Amino acid sequence: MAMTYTSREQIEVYRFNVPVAIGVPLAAIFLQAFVPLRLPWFSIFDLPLLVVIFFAMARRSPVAVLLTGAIIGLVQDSLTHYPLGVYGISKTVVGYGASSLGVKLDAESVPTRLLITTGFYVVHQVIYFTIARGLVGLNLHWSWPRELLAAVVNAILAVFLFALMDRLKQRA
Amino acid sequence: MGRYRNVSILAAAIFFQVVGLAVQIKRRTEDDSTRLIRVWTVNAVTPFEKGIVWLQSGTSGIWHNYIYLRGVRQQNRDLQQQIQQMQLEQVRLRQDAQQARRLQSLLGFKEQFINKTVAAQVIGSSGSEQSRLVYIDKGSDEGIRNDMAVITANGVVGKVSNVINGSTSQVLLINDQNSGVGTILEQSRLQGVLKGKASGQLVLDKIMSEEEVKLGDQVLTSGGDQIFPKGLPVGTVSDVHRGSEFLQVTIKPAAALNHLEEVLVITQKLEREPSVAGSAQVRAADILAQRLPSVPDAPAGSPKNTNEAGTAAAGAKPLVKPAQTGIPASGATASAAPPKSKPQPESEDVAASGLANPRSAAPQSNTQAPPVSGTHLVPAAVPIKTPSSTQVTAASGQPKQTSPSKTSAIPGQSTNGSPAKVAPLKPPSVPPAKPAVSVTPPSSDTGEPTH
Repeated sequence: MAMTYTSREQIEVYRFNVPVAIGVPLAAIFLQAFVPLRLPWFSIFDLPLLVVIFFAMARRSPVAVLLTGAIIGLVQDSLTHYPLGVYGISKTVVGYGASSLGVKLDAESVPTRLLITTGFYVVHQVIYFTIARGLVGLNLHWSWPRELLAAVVNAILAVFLFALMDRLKQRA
Repeated sequence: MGRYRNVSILAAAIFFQVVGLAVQIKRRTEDDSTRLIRVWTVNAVTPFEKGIVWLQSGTSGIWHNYIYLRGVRQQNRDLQQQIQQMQLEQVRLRQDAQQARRLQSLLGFKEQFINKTVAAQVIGSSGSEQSRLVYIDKGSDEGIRNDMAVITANGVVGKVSNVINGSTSQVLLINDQNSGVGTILEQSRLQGVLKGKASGQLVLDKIMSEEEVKLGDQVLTSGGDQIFPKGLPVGTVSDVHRGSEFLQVTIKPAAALNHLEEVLVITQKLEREPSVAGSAQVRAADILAQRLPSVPDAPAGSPKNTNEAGTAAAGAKPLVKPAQTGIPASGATASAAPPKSKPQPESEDVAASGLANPRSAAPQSNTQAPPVSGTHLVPAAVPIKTPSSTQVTAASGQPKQTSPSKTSAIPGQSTNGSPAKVAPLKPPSVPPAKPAVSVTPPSSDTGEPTH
């Protein structure tokens, strides 16, 4: 019997194999760290965040996904020189929120995915900036146009990425 | 109770992370060691990055060095022409440099020399726009330690902020907001602290608003931060805004911080007084610049000294083959190859110091370019490439006679333990001679914020 990474929700709940559950976030973090070296504009994307949102909407288990978000965020924090937890907290909240919302929405449709990703990208950035400025004391620059643009760009990428990752889902 | 289970877990998860965050922030000043989770993460991610970089550079090397050679002959001809022009200029610059060193010697200046550098490949980044740092494929095994300066031939890149393991280190870029570099403006000699902004811009801080700063003025390291040797290019002034108390000077970085591929970590610096006898020593910046370029190998028929001096040592492919690339060698010290006492300084002497004979490099040149040269121009257009596995050494001291096979083609590199040329770092001189040496007043570096 294969080990699975799943929840016990009954409606439109999906599970993921352990390799997928570990490999996809790691691949996202790796790409996020590597690709901007060659393509600096790529840093506008936040692949780990998109992965958290995808898992959240597919699994619909707030507890499991908030832990997933926390782990992905902490690993992402590890690659920066800032204290661990800035991304961790942001992605924890996003994971929980997206999972809770995913239960009530049709997470398979493109418009829903666009809206959810756009909204949670902004939420993620707001939390990140709040923690970074308030707790860590970083002097970060907030720009609404830039953040909104990044949110839309990430949402568009998410539509394609989620369609791709849908193939990795297994019905629970 | 079960109704609030999810929210409780969420609250607990956030609580623990906030506590963890708070502990780290408090601890950071006391204990600067690398946390285990960072080591694990980097160890998990960097092997993939190293693999891809290796594959990429291998493929690129095969393509560019063996297949795509279109235009190489023309490029070679152009470079040869360029060398001849530069040799003419070199003669004049050498006089300037010698004069500058004599003056420095009279004034009892201390010069900083880059004694040893390690070439490294950039293999990853933080993946965050807020954290401007990169990872390099050299670590404690290569002698890398925290706070070592990281540069390219174009200019300053940053400093080593964390040595993760034996083969990986973290480099904080100069445009990160936690960075700070002691700098000096080349023209006005004003000193200031270069800092990064959240947006990634570089600004020069602490320059009084009544001072005059010109657009396009070169910014060099002042050496006051005790990390970067004096005289390394940092960037140019791209914008100046007059504030109430201080000027807001925006700097365009000299190094391509967004497209870093290879860098040099300065692992050892020396400080000593310049001597007139050593006035013909090559500058550190020149050695670095010479070491980095890697144009496609020149076609056969290069001067014979090339082969001797061009023998790569330590199994590393030579970064630069001065004669082959047509770059005239420079920096043979007077003691190593004085033109009068040794009228024919053959390649052994020169090769011992990792330098080729300029006369052999460009025999047609009517310029009497002696082997002793104080300065050296490196064409800016020469592409730069540095094998990551090569440890580059530009040590101080007198060059030893060694067999050509044991010497390196890389100017300033010594692989047999004998030190190569010393590279005094000085800012370029007054215009129009761009890379000339200028006499700098004794800078009061004390009190300048450190990096």
